[in-house]
Amino acid sequence: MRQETNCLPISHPLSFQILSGTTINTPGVNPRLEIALKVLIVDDSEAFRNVMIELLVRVGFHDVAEAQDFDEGVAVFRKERPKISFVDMILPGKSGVELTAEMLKIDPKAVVIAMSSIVNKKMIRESLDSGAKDFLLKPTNEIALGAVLAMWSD
Amino acid sequence: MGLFSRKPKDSQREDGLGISRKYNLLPGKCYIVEESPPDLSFDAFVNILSTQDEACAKVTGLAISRQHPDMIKQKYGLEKTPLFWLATRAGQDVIAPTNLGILTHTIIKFIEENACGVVLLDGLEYLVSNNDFNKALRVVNQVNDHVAQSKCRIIIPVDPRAFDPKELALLERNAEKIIGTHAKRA
Repeated sequence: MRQETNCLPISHPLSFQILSGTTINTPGVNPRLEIALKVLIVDDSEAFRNVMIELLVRVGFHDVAEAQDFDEGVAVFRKERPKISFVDMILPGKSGVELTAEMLKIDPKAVVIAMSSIVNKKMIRESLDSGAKDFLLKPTNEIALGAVLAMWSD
Repeated sequence: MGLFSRKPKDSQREDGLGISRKYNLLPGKCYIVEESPPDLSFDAFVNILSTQDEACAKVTGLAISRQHPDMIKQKYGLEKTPLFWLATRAGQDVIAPTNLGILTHTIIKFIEENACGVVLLDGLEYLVSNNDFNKALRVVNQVNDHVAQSKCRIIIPVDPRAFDPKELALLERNAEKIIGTHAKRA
């Protein structure tokens, strides 16, 4: 994501509105989002995890943990207790749907966001049924990621 | 079906997925997304079609792309949205890149028939290479005029490496610009 300026004006299309009417600009770090909130990324692609970490840091989330599969995801989730977890639906071994259910068994208040590189409606419904709050299409971008975080970080 | 049009299959609304709206693209606006590949544009297009719109109960879409419709359907789960392939092959859902009249007419007809539509026009570089920049720009401007008078939105991904600065400036003259990704893939 190329940045022309550090912070874009409100009227720029990269700015978006969340339901409460608050307007947040991306790219550029918004002080309102710079909160000590732990985020977990579970994806078997290290390259994608690195891209996500870079995007999360850009939108103000610096406390990021990562895992590559179901077992590691559960272990890191138990240890770190992240507020928001981004879980790839297709993982080696057990699926992201199973991981979502397991995470919510450990902490029912956790927010899980499902991710996938294809919009498979059946899979999205399964993940939402298992407790995921939202869905992100991979590869993601600052606008979509920022919107999801603004929506679910409160 | 007229000689100078491609009749889109009935524009039906995609089923809601229960996910949140991530892109606040305003009705009546044209968005030029500088990116390659057009991931952000497709994500925004699909997200708008799959989520509730505060202003409109029924958001319908039309996509015209260099990518084959089967691939788009598979990747983005679009089941009801009419998809046209920009290609030189013959076929019902194909628009030849040199047929700018049919292309323009198809988009304008959709805008007129769908009060809250969203149009994705992917493949501007292909149109330019098969015609010339000014002809392609005329299509964008003509469509943009219709969008401005409606509640529709149009998303046009462009690869900035394929245009010189003056051409990009002309394309973005009456549009909102979004800077997307450049060849950064997971």
